[in-house]
Amino acid sequence: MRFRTLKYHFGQGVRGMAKNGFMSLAAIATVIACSFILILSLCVCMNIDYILKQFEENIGITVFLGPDVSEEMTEDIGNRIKHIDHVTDVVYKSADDNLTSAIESWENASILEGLRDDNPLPSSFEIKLEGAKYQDSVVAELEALQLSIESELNAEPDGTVYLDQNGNQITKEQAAQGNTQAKTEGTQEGTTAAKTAQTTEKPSAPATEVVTSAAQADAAVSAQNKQAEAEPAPPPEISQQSAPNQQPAQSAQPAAAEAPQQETIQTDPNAEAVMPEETKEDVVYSSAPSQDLMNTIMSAVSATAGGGIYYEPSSMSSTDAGVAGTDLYDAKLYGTDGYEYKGIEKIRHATEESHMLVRINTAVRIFSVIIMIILCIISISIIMNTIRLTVVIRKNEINIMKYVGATDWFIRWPFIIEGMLMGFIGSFISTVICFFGYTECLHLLSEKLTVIANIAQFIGPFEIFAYIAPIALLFGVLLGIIGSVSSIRKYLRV
Amino acid sequence: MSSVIKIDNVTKIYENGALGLKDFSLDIDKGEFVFIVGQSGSGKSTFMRILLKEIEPTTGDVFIDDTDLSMLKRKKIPYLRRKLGCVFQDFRLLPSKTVYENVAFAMQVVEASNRNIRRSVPQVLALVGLHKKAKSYPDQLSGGEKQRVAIARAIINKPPILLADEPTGNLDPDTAWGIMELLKEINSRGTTVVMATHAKDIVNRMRKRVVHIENGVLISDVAEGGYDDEI
Ligand SMILES: Nc1ncnc2c1ncn2[C@@H]1O[C@H](COP(=O)(O)OP(=O)(O)OP(=O)(O)O)[C@@H](O)[C@H]1O
Ligand SMILES: [Mg+2]
Repeated sequence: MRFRTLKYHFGQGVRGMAKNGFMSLAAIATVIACSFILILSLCVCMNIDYILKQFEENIGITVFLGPDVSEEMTEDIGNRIKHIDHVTDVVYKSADDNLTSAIESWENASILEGLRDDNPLPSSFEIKLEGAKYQDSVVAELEALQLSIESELNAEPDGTVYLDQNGNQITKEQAAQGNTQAKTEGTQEGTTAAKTAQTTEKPSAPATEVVTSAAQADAAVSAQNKQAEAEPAPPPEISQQSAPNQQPAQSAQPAAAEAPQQETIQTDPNAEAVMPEETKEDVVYSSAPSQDLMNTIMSAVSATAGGGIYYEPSSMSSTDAGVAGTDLYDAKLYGTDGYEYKGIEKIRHATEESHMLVRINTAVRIFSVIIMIILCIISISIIMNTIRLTVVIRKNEINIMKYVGATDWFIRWPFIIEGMLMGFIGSFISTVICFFGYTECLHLLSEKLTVIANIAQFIGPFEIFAYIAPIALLFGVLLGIIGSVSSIRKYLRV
Repeated sequence: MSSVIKIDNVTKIYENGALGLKDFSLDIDKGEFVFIVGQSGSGKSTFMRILLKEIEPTTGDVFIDDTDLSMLKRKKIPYLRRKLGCVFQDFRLLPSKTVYENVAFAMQVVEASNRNIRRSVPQVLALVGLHKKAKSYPDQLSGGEKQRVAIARAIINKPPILLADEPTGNLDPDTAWGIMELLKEINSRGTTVVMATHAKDIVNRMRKRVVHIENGVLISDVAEGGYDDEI
């Protein structure tokens, strides 16, 4: 299109708008109303989104390291965590840092100062994610990492790799466990058998206890070798072990049955439910006072690390022994004779919160999209009717234009520009009103409702309108275009 | 001489069953002045509208400048109409535009340059004798003057053909004759003029080619004829 033609159309559009003054005002008023609702819902949605993001940023995962993890190891673990997808930030907290924050978060924690010299707290990594929705996948990765670190540490010098029946790499302990199970089922000989029997007497004992001592593992291995000698079916060097799950039902000794879950059991909130009550008590009382305290502190530490949104499933069910129960497995494992974690001890996360946040987020989005669609339909139909009237008024003109050889687009343009102008003016007025309204609202909120302002931060007026203004203006212009194009359609047929 | 309009065996039956034209054939050569005469409802306007591709013939072919109208895409219709200036009984001027603007409008529509518009419009207004009324609005003009504006608008883009459907229908005899003189002048400059009319005296005085239609059927076609020649 030539510039003078554009100028002509623009002039015609303005003229058309001015000529049908009343109708144009009505159309503009409609656009003002529509874009007002649009801007309003955008403001609400964007702010909810923004606040959810703030919460989301505070929901992290804490990875506690075992004691006596060397510096290189710590660094290595840190690097490996950083390389997990959707991890945005990994912060190392030394045991000392954790104690400090525990002291800070506890009112009467000055007694903890005495622990400075002999700090029972673990060091940890605090992990931030891109969003709450990635939590599950990152936790899965961390668990895999935990497993692989453990298996690396326990790897045989000759590089033997242990696989379960599915071909997945498992730790030596797991392998041994599976084998021990097989033994128990079969010959029941030597120290291994005795050990297994002892283990299985304690139905609650998490599998970890059975398998984590190095001596035990060795015993298991030796048992495995013996078995290999006795029954040539599984060759000694094979990594494929007969797995407990493949055993007949009578092998259902709890420890053995739980063996494959040994690593995940720590993060499984339901695990507690299957434990007999006495065991729980036993755990609580058996833990030394200092250990009890330590567990409490660990909870406190992770609570602060979690930015206040922290949920520990087991502590909800048992408030009494809650804190100790929370770290049931730690209580049993941590400091247990002869056992030391060598890599990642525990992965802590708030699944419920993150799932809830993701759900709220999705709900808000869906809701706003629905509102938008309804709004658009209403606005377009109103604009269509308004412009249709101006088109009817100019039917004569369109007719004459057709007779003198005007192309369809030449006829359309002035109406489109007229619609665009009305849409633009309407959404512009609306944007200006909303901008000042929003600024005023933020003012009022920060002055009168300091409580809300403290909980959540809202998006600044300039920041939010940098996004909203173009959207609103585009919305208005599009409304005008769609309205005018659809209303002149039928008058083009001459 | 090549025919600028060629109508071949055209039949037009409207959706409601009314007969517009029946087995109608006609050739019009470049530069001719042709009267289409016949009683009211005989099919004169149907003939004009088929030329403008406002309506499609039910059967038969129409060629304008060797272009088969039935093959013409919808998008190309505006370019066909630029070859056909048209004038109607009811003038069809834009009341909100001045005389000058009404004429300039036809040039803007075909995206002529402003310079071109400023040069051509006064020339055409001078040709139709309205150069002094350029700033008037249609309401301020007499019927004859309105029709002159309409003619000026129809010829401003120099179309090879001018279609006039009863251009004198609303005018008194003297004014009508003035319009005829103007059309004759336009025709003498090379434009083919096709004019539908009831006005016997005008047809008889002009001594041009007369095509007579009754009930959609061509009943006579006489060069330098009169209205009642064959009847
Ligand atoms: N749009 C239409 N739909 C249906 N029938 C129509 C339509 N236009 C015209 N007709 C019919 O076609 C026939 C020819 O009409 P047409 O307008 O061509 O006559 P005309 O010769 O121009 O008459 P007039 O001298 O009164 O203008 C008439 O019978 C008329 O009723
Ligand atoms: Mg007619």
